[in-house]
Amino acid sequence: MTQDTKTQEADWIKSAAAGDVASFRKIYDRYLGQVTRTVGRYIGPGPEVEDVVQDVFVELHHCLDKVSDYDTFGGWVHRVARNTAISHIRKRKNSVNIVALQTLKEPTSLWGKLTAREKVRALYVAMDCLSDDQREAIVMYELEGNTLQEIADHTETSINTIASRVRRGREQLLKIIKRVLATSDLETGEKV
Amino acid sequence: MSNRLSCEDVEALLFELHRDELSDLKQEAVDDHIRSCHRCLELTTKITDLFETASQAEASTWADINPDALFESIEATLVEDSEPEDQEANERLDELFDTARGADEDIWMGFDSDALFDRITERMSSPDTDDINDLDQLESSPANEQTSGDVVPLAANREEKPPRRAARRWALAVAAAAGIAFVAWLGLSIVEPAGDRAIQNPADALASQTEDPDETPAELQEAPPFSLPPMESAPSTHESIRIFASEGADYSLGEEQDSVLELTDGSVLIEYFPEQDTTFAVRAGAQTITVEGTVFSVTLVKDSIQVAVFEGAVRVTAPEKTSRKIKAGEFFTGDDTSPLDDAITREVERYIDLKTHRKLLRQALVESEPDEEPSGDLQPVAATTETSVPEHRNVQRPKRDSPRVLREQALEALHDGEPRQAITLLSEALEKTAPTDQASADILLELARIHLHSLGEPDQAADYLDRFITRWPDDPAADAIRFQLCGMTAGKDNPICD
Repeated sequence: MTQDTKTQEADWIKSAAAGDVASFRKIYDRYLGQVTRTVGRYIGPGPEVEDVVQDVFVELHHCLDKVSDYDTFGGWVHRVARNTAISHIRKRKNSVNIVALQTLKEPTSLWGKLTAREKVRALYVAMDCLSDDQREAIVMYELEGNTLQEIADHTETSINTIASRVRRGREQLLKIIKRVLATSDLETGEKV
Repeated sequence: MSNRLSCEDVEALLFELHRDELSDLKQEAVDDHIRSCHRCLELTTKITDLFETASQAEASTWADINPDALFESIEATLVEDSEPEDQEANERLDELFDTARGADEDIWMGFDSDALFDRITERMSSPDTDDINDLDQLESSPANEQTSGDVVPLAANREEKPPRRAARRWALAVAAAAGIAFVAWLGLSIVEPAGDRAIQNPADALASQTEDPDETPAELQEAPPFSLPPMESAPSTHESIRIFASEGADYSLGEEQDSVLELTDGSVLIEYFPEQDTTFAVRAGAQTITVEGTVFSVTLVKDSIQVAVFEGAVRVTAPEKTSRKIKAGEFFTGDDTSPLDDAITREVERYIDLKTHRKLLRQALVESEPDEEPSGDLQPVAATTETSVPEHRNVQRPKRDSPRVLREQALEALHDGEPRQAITLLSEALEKTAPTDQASADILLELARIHLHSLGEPDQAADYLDRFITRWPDDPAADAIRFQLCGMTAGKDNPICD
């Protein structure tokens, strides 16, 4: 982001904090994609994402007047999105969509023709079988590319606990995917 | 070469493959396998594709959002939030907070401070205190023998209590020094005092059913063969402790930070990721097993304890005896130490993926803050009994020439186009690393890679690959490396290639 863009963004933040809707809309337009991706990675594809994205922007609006470091605004937006999504995951009840999981059984020759949404839907059905902590660790480590230390810092958890969650999450996912591939019909979607 | 790696080996490397973390040699070994294994090809393709797709997915993949409609909803929510009555309530709340922040102590203190202090000192000196942190102290303190209600100096009561912070520093030092983790298998056999019935390791129990119950004490004390009974995942109160238990195993694990697993019957297999501010010990009968290293197992038959260590080291402490440190690759029983049978390690790996465990722990160690790491070598740990807290230990910074630092410097040298310097640093790191340490395997491969690819010296590379295969024949990459090595040394007399 260039200095001009940063300066422009700082102006938007100040104006939006003072109640200027047009400025807030500009912030919204700039960060909608990033927030949606972040929320989506934690929650998985589906209509819930929009609800949580809405919550994120409402939260952002409430806190705009507390922003003091305009250079790191993007990182702050990401953290708010992540925290809101994690909070949402912890509140909701898991349900496993067996049909979506069957996507994993597509033969390799047809696998490449699936849409990105079909693939991530299958992944997140498997992810729904993880504990919330494991899911958080897997998303931050495998999808967002954070280091174990960064995750430990963010979650205020020891680095070894994070390593443990990542490892167990991997094992769980592998187990689920192997099970789906090995069975002709998935009998149950209960937690593995 | 084909199918040199097993499907299980490839599965263990799948996520590293996805993160592009495999060394060239391991990557090659995996590629070789999946070229001829349809099942692993499918699994690998799908897992790597799933995570790549998810990490690179556009916003539209996650939800069909109409930006304008969503913005209207947000606006509506914001307007609702700023209703006049809410504003008034918020202002009132702010006023209350301001008042609270600026309040002097008179506002809070609606009580007699002298009377309160008297009550506090009375509680501190009373054995009926609710202060859990002081319970142990009170139980062992002479002050406890005084008539309840007698006020004793607080300092006297606190003097002997080990500082909790010291325990945490100790835990950190031990955990980091030992490679931060251990996996333990405990197979306990305890003789019931009244029944003369030897409750043996469940794997041996069936075989002993026909034996004479009136065995002589000498026979009872003879250690049974070491084996791992069938295990099932069992509940644990600690996130960092994973437990597998044999059928009929009886154990308890408190929820305290400094936890002790009390095993009274059966066998448990434990995987533990040590926490910075916690300690963990296993108590079996009169024995306490304190953790210094990463993987070990213990069997107790009456007074005879058996310990097998797969990585790192453990310390077994019996009452009124000196503690004994058991190192990786050793099987300890009675007073003798003998080499560990590889079959037991393979049994453990049925339940716990040791390689992944080891890798994540090593990674965790590397990423830890420098001032929280001790030197790379194991530090001697004072013998501990029961749950007593070890003495304070200073956490040391890594030495400038520790193997880890040397490897980092070698990497920098390599990036700076100085492979000779990298070789020197890695050689030094190798000398300082125990041959049984997995890190030595990585260093050997790094040295071989630099000689081969950066310096064009296949003979030197072959030497290191040869050492790797000799020392780590069961490594997932060993077959691929053997193949490469034999190709490099074609025509030369190398028994590895026979």
